[in-house]
Amino acid sequence: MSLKALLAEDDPDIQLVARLSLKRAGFQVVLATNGAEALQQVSSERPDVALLDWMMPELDGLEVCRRLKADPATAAIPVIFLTARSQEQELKTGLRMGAIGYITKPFDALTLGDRVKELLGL
Amino acid sequence: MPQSLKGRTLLGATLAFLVLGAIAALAFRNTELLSDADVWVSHTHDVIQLIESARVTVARTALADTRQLRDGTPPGPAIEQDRFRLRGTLASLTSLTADNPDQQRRLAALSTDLTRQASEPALAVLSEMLLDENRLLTDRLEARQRNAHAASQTLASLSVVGGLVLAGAFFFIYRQTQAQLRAEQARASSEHRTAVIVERMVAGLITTNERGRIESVNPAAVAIFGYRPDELMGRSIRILMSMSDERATAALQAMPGPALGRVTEWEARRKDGSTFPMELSLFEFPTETGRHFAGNVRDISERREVDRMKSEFVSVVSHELRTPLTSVRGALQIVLDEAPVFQDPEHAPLLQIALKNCERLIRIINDILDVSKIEAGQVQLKLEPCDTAELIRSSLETSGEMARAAGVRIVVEPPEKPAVVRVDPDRFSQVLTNLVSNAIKFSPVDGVVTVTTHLGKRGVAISVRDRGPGISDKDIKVLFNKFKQLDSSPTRARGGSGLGLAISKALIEEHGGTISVESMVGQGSVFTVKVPYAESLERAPSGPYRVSARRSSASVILAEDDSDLREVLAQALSRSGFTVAPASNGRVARTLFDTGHYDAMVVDLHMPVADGFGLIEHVRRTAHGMKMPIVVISGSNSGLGETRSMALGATSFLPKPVTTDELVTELYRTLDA
Repeated sequence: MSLKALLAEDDPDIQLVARLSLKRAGFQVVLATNGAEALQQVSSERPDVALLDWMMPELDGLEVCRRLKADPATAAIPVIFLTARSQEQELKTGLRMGAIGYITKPFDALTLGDRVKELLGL
Repeated sequence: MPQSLKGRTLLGATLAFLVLGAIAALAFRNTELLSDADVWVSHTHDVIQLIESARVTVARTALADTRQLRDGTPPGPAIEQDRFRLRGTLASLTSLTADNPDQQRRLAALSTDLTRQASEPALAVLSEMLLDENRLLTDRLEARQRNAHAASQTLASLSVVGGLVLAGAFFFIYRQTQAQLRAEQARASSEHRTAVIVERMVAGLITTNERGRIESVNPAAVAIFGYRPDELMGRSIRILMSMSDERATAALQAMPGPALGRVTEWEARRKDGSTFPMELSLFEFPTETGRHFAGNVRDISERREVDRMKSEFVSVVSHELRTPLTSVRGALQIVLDEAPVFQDPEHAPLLQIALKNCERLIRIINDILDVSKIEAGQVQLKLEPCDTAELIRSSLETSGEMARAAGVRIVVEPPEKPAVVRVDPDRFSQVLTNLVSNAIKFSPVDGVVTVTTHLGKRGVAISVRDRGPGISDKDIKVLFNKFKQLDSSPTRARGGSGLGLAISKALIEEHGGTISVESMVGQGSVFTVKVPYAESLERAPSGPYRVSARRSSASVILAEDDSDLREVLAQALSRSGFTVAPASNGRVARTLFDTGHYDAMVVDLHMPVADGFGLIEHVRRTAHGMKMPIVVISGSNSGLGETRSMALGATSFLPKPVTTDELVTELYRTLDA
């Protein structure tokens, strides 16, 4: 049974690498390049986990997460942030917003999938 | 020679008076002698006068006698009187010259002669007597002369010495007065100088008495706070602090303790009510009236702003650097792992080089960011009690593979008995890992790296020893500096960033510990980290940030089902600096709590789906929520709600209707407790 992961990332290079990385770990990957697209994809695709880049055009990751958590239909979908930011305050805010964790960039492309599974408790 | 002024004056005065006294005594004696001599002289004069008058009388009687003999004229009654008077004169003379045996003899002869009326021999005796007396007079006059001379000499020397002593005394007094005046002047000018310095000081200077009442403020302080000096005198120092009254009282009671002798940061309040970050350097000074405190104050708003900009810059830059590196690293990793076509011996090494250096770049960026954060004081350590052995074990988990690859063995000697230290486990691990990986890098193949723990009186000392080339004294001095790599090639080849030890040192010092190294060239090195035990913390590690730490936004779960009330409370809490996570029922609140990190909770007891009681119960059962402040707000009339929620472990209870002020104050109170 393969898990479906939504990957919302605006940098095309990182998107490619992350997608490949997740595929290697057995995930089925659904893509989004901005916040609005991410919300749409979540509604239509119902992923098992949403990987949100922190900084995105249209809506940033934090706002997407807030909306997902505010909507009872999507509130249960686990959210993981992908972020190059290192400010502790920001990371805490992300967790408070309801994310189950965060993965810092640059991430290890060989173990990204495992890391996601770890955070999901699998 | 006595040293004190009093002693010396006494000695001098005593000597002077002794000398003067001696001379005065001498002078007195001499004047006495002189008057004695005078008496003798006048005495002799008297005697001479008497003798002369006797001679005249005798001559007269002799004449009368001769006439009588010649003429037969009887002498007149005057002559009888003369003869009578003569007898008196003789008697006087006899008594006057009682001490002169020669004169006494002559007087006796004279008396005989006069009785016989032998005038001629009488006159001769009288002449003899006169001669004698004249001689005596001369002697006595000479003696008197000498005495007079001596007397005047001693009197003269008395006046001279007296004059000298007086002059000396005046001089002495003058010198003393001059010295005193000079000292007074020096003191006054030094006081004046100090006063001018305080006036012109750029930093504000405020002094208070033991109870925190302001005693003085310099112009700079006045300018910083915007009050007039008279408005501040005698007021409590708390009017300058931006805190609720309760917190100010608590702070004042705790003060000066943690702030004394240190530089601390506070939030201060100006006269117009605006607040600003203030840096305080507090010290105490004693006076006759008791303990006093003085503090230098600086408005550091600008510095804070600059620091914020600096750290934001570093953060943005690191983000910008990390983004492209993500793709590069990820791409290289996947290619090297997957595509067999790139496994060929010619191209694979090139790709590996690219990946390796990419990793190195990432490490450098991480380290730079770390250092920047630490220097900006933005690293807040999450201190908790940790078991030392466990700490070491988990830190070395990651080093195992590196050691194996380098052919180095790690040997861990656990402490003799369990020891609990207060550290931030992640950061402490970072330091230990740094030390161990350095040790591995410098160890020869088949070498051993030893990690030992020594339990000291106040804390634990963990030592990492390697048998590598060792470090020279010259290099030890700069070892913990930034970007200092020893010139030997091994480190460069192994890709260090040069920041590891600098970061380790900063982190350990933030813990209130120390890091040191002992090494001899050719004999390896020992790096020792010391951290305090969990119970005894001598020095508050993050000193300046302690006080203001509470002001950084605490995050609160607000569980309230009434959406209007929830909105109002959330806004009020936000405005007061809290980060609010709203929840419309117990279950949402529970999920939030389980999946996030929060500092406090505000709970309405009666909510749909899952009520407040269950929520409190759940929170209190977790490790994280055991001590978390939970403020219950409830509109239920019966007191049962309060009783039950407090029994379940709620921190405090506020009955509805609750004002936003009440809630904010209560949250502050529970968070500070």
